Amino acid sequence: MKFRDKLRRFASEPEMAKQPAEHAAAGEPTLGAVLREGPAGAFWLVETHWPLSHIHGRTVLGQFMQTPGSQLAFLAQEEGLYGTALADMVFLDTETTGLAGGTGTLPFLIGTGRVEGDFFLLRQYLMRDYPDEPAVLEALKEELQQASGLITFNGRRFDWPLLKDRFMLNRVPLAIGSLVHLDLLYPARRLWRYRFHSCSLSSLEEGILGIERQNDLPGSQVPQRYFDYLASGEAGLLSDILHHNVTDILSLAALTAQLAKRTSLEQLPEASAWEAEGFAHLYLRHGQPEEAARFGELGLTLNPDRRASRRLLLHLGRAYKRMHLHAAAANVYLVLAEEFPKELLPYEELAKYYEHVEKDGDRASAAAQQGLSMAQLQKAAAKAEAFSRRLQRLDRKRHQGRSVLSFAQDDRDNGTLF
Amino acid sequence: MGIESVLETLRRDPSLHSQITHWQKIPAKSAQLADFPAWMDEDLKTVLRKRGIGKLYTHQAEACGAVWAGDDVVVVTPTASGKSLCYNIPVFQRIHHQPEARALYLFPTKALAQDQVAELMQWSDELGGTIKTYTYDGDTPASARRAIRSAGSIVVTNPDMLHSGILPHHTKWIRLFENLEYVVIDELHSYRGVFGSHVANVLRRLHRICRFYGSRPQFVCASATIANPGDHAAALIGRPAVVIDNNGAPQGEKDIILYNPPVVNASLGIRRSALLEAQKIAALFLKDNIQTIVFARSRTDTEVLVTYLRRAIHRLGQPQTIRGYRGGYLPKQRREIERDLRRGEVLGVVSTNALELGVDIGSLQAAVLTGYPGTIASTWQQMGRAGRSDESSAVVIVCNSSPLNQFVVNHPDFIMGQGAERALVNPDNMFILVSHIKCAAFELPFTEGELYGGSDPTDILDFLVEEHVLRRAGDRWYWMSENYPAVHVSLRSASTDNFTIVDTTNGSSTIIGEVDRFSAPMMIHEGAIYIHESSQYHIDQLDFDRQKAYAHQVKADYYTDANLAVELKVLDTSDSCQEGIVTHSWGEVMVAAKTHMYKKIRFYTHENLGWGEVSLPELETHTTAYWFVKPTTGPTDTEALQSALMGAANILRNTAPLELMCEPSDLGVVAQVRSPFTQGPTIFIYEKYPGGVGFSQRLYDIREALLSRCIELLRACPCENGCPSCVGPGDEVGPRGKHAARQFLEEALQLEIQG
Repeated sequence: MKFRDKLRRFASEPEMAKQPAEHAAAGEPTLGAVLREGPAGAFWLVETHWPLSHIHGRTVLGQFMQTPGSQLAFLAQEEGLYGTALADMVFLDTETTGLAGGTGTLPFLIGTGRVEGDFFLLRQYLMRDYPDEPAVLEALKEELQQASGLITFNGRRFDWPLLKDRFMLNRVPLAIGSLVHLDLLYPARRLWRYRFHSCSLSSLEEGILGIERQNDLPGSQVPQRYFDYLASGEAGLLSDILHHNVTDILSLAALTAQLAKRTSLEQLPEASAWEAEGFAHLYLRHGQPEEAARFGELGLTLNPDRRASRRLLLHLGRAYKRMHLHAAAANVYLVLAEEFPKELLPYEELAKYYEHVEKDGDRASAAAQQGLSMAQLQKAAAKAEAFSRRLQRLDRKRHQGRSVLSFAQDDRDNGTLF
Repeated sequence: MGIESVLETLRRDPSLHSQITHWQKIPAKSAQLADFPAWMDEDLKTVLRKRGIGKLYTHQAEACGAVWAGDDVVVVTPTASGKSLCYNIPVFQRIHHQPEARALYLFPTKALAQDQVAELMQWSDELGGTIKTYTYDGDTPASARRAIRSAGSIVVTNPDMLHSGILPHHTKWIRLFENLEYVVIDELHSYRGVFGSHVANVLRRLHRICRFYGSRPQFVCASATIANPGDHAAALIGRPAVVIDNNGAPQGEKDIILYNPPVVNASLGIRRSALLEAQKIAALFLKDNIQTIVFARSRTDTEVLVTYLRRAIHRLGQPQTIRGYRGGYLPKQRREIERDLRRGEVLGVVSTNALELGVDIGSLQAAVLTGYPGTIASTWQQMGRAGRSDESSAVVIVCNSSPLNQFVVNHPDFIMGQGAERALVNPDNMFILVSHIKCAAFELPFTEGELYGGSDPTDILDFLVEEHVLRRAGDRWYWMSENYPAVHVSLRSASTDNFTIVDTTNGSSTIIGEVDRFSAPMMIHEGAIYIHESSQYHIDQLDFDRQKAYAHQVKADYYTDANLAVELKVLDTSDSCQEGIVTHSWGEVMVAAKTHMYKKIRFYTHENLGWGEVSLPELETHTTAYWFVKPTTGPTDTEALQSALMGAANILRNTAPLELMCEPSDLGVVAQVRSPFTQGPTIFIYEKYPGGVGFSQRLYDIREALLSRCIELLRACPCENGCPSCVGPGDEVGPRGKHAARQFLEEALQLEIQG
């Protein structure tokens, strides 16, 4: 039996037998690509210059430059941005042969964007075929070494680890220490996760940047398109990928500007309640209740929907409490209990407040009782247990007739409330 | 009191003694000791002395020496002979002096890996904590993975994780691969058959990655006793290995007893349940306060035995004296049982083969094996659990009525005389090879002239280019697919291809069991009655594509018996020879199996209650087979020939696994009265795994021994007209089936025909 027949019988799988797809309008390559040659080999470089005044969606392309990095540092939680100018950083986005990760995934197109003079210079490093990779990486290394940082979308988890692997694999030493890396996905999630569930770049383009992609090649089809090009040698097949990648990078720049704008939310006419919520939450987590309260109050003035109201009120209550504005906090919890009776926290907070601040055992018991009923209704056993312990204690307190003051000392709430 | 009095009972009690087919005493052996090697550090010696180890056994010293001298080594010694010191001493010595050095430990299961890490961590602490040891497996939290990748001196994992989690991400493991000096493979004998063939390829990929990072690790393997440790190690690691098998561990006197339960129905050849007999014998030991391990064949049997023995021993307020041990127990619980066994707080433990591998439970005084474990190697592993250096011990093997067991119980030499089986792998199985070449190409492009597993993979690479999986550019082949190939290749292929049975009774959806792809059309077709732990389930739906069957519990008075039609076509003969009138061959075949219908059969009366149709796809497998054809001489009685072939095929199917160290379910047989290919009466034994893993060729090589073994078994079987222990029940193979089968086989071997 012929070896090949044997192989076919044992190893052929139907899903493997993918034939290159037919593409009607392949046409002449109009990529505008220039062959770059160096000691490590050659590759195609596509350079386009975009005026900084170009408008991408509803954002002026060069707008992001006007923001000092420090302004975004808190929202992005990236220390390195203090003292870094965004204009000195480089935008980066890759197109790969797959999303699975691992050393068999090739970033065959690496797009970068940065400010050069009056222009936004967009460079696309394109591999004509697999062997071009070392040359691309050498050239990319040059560009990265000149930049003071990287701006990506999900690059922390995807593009950058992948590139580091490729440098390693091709033995191109990357003499870059710890790079400042602004991954826009994280600040975007902080502000918009409730508005756009997936927070993908395309949902943000649509909802924030005002961009609707026309005739765009979906990202999921990119790998197969590149394989089709490799099989046919038809460079025209790549123009859709290049175009897709250009839009991605321009969107990164626009998104940076839009995020930066949100850092002065009060002055922003289009500010939304959810964005205020995002800041309130972030400040609360980082121990700045005054700021959190400011954004909580702001959010409530921005026509929040019910879900946003609920979260804003919860943040606000917590912030006031941390600021020792107990009466204000209690007011917030009263509103919450009124508007969102299923929420258990307000009853607990109110019971504490009446007991320890107002020294009003009856109202404290009433609040705890409400909490208990609601917890039982929701079959929240642990919560119900806590409420009934609280009730018993309040009861005991009353019966023993001890002075309220002396109780404060053995009260388990002590540490948390005061 | 003590073990002697129990042995005395076994000797004296006629009802017991008459069932003993063999009793052998293995004399005591004293320890052979050697000094610590001169190169060993004082620190390390101190660690060992703290454990009461002042000298090494000779095999340990020899193994350490060979490893230190730079050889690849395979250590072959029985259970509890201190195998792990053979690799731990050189590895710790090296890393203690060269903190950058790395070692990779492979264990076949996660549980064994975790055991080992606990021990390694103690050593490490005592050496000052510089040697970081971690397990890396599916349970490792993502947060710990980064630290392990860069800082783990010893990474303990399993082949599956190496295959799908480490090699495809080798750039993240650069510190490990650049500095990898030792690869330790324990339980080497468990890497055989399909699993072993896959693992051999994973190791070929490991070699490639190490070459890329400029390292060339040494391999240190440890194995239970097998016939071919050197060859097996070489087949797996791709390099010759020095075999070290001069066991220096001491051994007390040991009695080995083969026990055959009494016959309860002579004509049907049915014996008393081995489970109950094992229970009876284990109770004898336990009642005399002898620490005993009982090996059961399944998880259910384990639980049943625990219940029985607890009842039999009946110690008020001491339920923990008898414990069960099997997969499915929580790790914490298993650790606790192991500890209590070592401390002697647990008197008896009933275990599946989970305790056959190298988990440290100390040494017990008696072992009872419920049924022959399936291989000689496993038998010795299990028997090795009983036996202390300073006391005598005893092992009783209680055989059941299966053909394998009946053969073993009547042929003590099979276990006692000859060595263990050969462990077989076929890393070049086309199916397996191509799968791993894909994974390898994903990890690193192949370069022109590069060898894979010692041979030139160009043809396969070009084939994969045609399949649009690889791309040839310049002098290299690159991965060209969105897929992550390792995900689609399971090293333990049987498990991924299994069908699960979902119980939907009362709106539940509980998985109650699994059957393999081949058995699915037979056992879980729509309308089948599936019996699981003595409950009956009616199969309502079989989703063949999703590999799921949905069933609900019923109480039916019938069972179902599906009719499987197997067609076998020879595609290519690899080798063939004529012996007398018989032609033996092995080669490639295509097996097509289809289930057309099933019968409903009433329990006890066996009357036919009707039948149903099954419409399921035909299962085709390209695989390898061994076959022989014996042309008819003189006039033929087709019916007699049919029953001779059927009987002979049945007994061959049951006997072949004895020689192959495989499961009976790994093989299938087909008998053809007039084969279209050979033109004569032919029996085929084929491998169920696509492409085969070397069993067929091995059967061809040992054909004479195989056929003689079958004849011996037939001659020794006391049944009249065939029973489940030999050619199958008489009503299946016909009243003269047993005789006809024996005659057929004897003629095939050109033996003088007896009676």
